Amino acid sequence: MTAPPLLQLRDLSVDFSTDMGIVHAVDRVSFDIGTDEIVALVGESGSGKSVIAQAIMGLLGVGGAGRNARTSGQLRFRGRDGAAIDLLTLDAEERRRLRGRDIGMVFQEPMTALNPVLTVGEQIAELLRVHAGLTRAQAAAEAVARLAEVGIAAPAERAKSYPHQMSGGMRQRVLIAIAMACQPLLLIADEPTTALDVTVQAQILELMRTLKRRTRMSVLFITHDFGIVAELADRVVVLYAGRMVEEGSATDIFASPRHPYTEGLLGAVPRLDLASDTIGAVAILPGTAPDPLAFPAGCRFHPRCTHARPGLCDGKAPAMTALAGARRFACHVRASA
Amino acid sequence: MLRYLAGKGFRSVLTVFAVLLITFVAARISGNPFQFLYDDGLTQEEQAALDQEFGLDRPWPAQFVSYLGQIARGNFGRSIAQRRPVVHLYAEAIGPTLRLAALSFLATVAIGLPLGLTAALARHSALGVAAMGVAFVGYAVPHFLLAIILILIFSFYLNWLPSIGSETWWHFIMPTITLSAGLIAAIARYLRGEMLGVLSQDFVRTARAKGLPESMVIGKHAVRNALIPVITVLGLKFNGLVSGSLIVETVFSFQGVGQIFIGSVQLRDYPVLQFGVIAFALTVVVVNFLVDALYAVVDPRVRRSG
Repeated sequence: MTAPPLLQLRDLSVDFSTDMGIVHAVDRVSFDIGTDEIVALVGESGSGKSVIAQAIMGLLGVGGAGRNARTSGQLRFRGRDGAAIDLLTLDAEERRRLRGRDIGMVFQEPMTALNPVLTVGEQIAELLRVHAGLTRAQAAAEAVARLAEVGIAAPAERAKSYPHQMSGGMRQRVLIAIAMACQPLLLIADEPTTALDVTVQAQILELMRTLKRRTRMSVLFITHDFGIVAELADRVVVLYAGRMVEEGSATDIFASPRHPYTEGLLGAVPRLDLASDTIGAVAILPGTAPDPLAFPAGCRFHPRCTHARPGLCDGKAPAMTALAGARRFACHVRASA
Repeated sequence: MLRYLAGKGFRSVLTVFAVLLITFVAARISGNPFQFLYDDGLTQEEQAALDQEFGLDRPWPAQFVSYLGQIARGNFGRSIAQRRPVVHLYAEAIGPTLRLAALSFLATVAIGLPLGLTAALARHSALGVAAMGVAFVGYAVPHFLLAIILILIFSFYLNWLPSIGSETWWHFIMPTITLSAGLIAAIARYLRGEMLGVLSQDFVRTARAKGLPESMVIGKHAVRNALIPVITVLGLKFNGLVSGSLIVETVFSFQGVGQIFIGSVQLRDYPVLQFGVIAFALTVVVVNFLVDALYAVVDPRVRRSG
């Protein structure tokens, strides 16, 4: 990959001040999203992956949500003109204009993410009017074309439908059409298939793959499902309790995970190729995700880690160890091994 | 949709019929108009002659059937007290009443909706809290009390506004405030609650993720959804506006239909009373019907399932 990265996260931190104290939801996270690359951001719920997505979108602190959020670090984004800008230095209006145009986002809940009182055609068209300055008629026609693009049959009729007249899979296609309407440089997909049943899940993933190939956009795919990562991702970033624990190409991570947490996650993927009598033996990560108000000192994973060494892992946070092939991981034990 | 409307229409007719029947019987149980009109008393013969003139000598079921026949032909009878057609009495008085209702409704929409919206959007600031404080007071104070307080302040002490009659626009200020205060408060409180609910919905987040200007996120995506249940509440509250207008018109000595209606109750002027009840019931029924229709316009989920 010779082209410069589309987005560089540098020491991105997000703190929320709550009544109960300060939550360091994201702690100095740094990684790149290359041009024409699919990066999977993997972690359990509460690991901070959705917060990173909202920070990139600039949705923290917009409206009521995240009023109490404080974001620091850098988000260097290479715009359509090729110049890199730090998104965090832009004002609210500039960020709004990037949203939906240069950065699109697909959410987890297709059943509730569409406005129930507007036709799906209008929900695509309004975006084109705002960002591309199309007229009402142009935008309506364009919306139909976008629906066709995401594989919706009879798009002209469907454009006049309301969300409640559509299935979950169809609504997710509409949401993808919305996110893709302005041909964004970056698409953020926040667990877009979690709420769908398995066959529809496969269709949606196939659609995203096709669209990605056609448009050469970059994708940040947020998931907790390594099955999806294997199907889709070029590169993987593993997050635990707001910190990066491992990064590398999908092939490398599957072949030889370095961090014990990544190992645990990979072990927790149900394998259909194993004999049925071993299915019950799917490995489960012991313990539960830590309380964000009181993350453990040192390596945040050490209380659940079978390899943890007292006096080492509960002391200071492990630094990133870099390996060949842009691989990095943060583990005291494995770094010294 | 047509079947839905037909069903609604049939139920509405039944409602009005039931209301009329109850009024018809209740009025006759409570007394004879001539006892109230001639308080020095009547002889047996005089009473019988008057009863016969107005058909009150016949059994109640017969009276009811012939009354139904009359109104089916559009004839609502004559006032017993004034000996003039009932419809004329109401027609002469409807002006001030309609004006008061329209002003109150306008005030409700024009003040209540912005107040509720402000309270929702500025909920963390002093402005939003103040808006809700005002609304709460409006909600808690009953019509008659508010009317008397207003009269005391603006007519009795300050002498700024007339407290009796309905001749000029000045006469309408205090009645409008009295009648709409509770409605404004109810609508504002309700819209605020709905807005807060809608603003945390996923589709609002989607609208923001699309990069729409905040004015569009609020005005197009959030408000439209928040207004749907508010329309229902407006419809329900309209019934309160009808009954409230009777009280308000009485307190401010309005020359409106309220006075005629209340007078007919006091005198047991059956034809006037019955027409008033039919008219009020019909108004409520028609408004509720319109609310249902409006509901279908703003909420596509209702439109298809009807």
